[in-house]
Amino acid sequence: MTIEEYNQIVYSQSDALYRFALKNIKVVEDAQEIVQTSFEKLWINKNNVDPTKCKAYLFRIAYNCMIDIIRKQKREVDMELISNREPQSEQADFRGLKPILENALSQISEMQRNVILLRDYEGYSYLEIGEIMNLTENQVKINIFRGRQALQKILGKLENYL
Amino acid sequence: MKEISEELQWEIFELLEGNLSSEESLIILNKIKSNKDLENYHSSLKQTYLLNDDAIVYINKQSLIRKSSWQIYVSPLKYAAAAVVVLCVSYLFYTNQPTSIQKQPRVAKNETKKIIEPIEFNKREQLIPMKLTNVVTVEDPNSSQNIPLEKLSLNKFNKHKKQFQPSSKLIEEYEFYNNLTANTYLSDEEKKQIMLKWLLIHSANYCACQDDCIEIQPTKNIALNDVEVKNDQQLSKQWINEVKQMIKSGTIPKIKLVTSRKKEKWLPTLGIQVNTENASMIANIIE
Repeated sequence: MTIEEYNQIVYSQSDALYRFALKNIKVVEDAQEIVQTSFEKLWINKNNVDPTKCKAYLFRIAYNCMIDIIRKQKREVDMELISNREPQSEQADFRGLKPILENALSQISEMQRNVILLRDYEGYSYLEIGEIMNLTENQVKINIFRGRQALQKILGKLENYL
Repeated sequence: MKEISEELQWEIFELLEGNLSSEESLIILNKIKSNKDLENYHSSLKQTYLLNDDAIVYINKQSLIRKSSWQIYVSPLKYAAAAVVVLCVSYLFYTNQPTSIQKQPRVAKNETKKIIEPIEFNKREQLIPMKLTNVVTVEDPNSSQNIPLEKLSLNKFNKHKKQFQPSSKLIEEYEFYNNLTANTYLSDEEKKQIMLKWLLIHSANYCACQDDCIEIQPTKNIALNDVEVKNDQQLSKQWINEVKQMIKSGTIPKIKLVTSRKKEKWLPTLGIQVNTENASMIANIIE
């Protein structure tokens, strides 16, 4: 991969990667760090990465970084014993469907959320999502289906509530 | 709302995912239209599809951009160039430092008469009189080996005598003197030696120009007491000026290459004896 190709990928993929990270972990600084780390690793391995598959490579790195961050956050939350904190859903802004949906996204499983994000935001095929997340096509498809069902249920509950 | 079978749920999901052909899609759509529950399920599932949020952009793209290899390698080149400059400056500084005269273990003997060729009048070399670059051979007739007495003179001797330019000499002399006195780090002994060498060379120049000849006579058994040895202060102010005036006026101080006894042993020391009208000076050049 040449420098020009790499820079082209930066321009074409950094937004999508950042979006994917931000929608997942909700923290701007963490999302930016994930993007930086992903592109740094891409640069280091530029000679070993097929330029046609570097997008999937980037998202796989970002996904792994996110997993690490989320696990770390979970550990910290467990230690802080914040059981008295109000559920995030109750703090959400219900003024439109988009924030409701994004809030609902945060309530489904990590796996389901990621496959849906990759599918909807980035338009990846099941195969590509599988490459990023080390899943088979069927596993991806099932996770998307289950994730959408879960979202559907959450949204349905909210509709009833409202 | 009736519970919808999983098969139908999958079919609607496949429809929304765009995995069905147009015919299959048409069949499912007809099913949905005909069933209110399916329609509700379809619309609620459709709501779970996220719309791409183009408003979210990564603003630090420039920090990810890599520069071309040429720009990457500029810095090391700059460092290398800077290193070369530093080394050159260090070298020049080092080579400009007056050092003690190289010790000469050889002993000059009598009966040697050499013609010193005109000296190329090189300003830089004048300013760096300690840099020994030439050889005056003083042969020992009693020895089977013809051992050169090296590095007595300082500058390169000019093969073409006429290149010597007395008209530039005053300027050079003036600058040389300033330089010498400005270099306060020089010890008096070093100044003395530098002056003596300088005088020797200029005398040789004059002599070479006027007579094509100068005598440098190694002389045995001249005790230091035979000539008046000036102290450093006198050397730097009075005696040297006197010699310099002589040189300027065209009068050549008498210069002899002498050897002297040191500590009851003969000839371990080589010196220069310069005689003016009023005084005589002998200074050790090589010990």
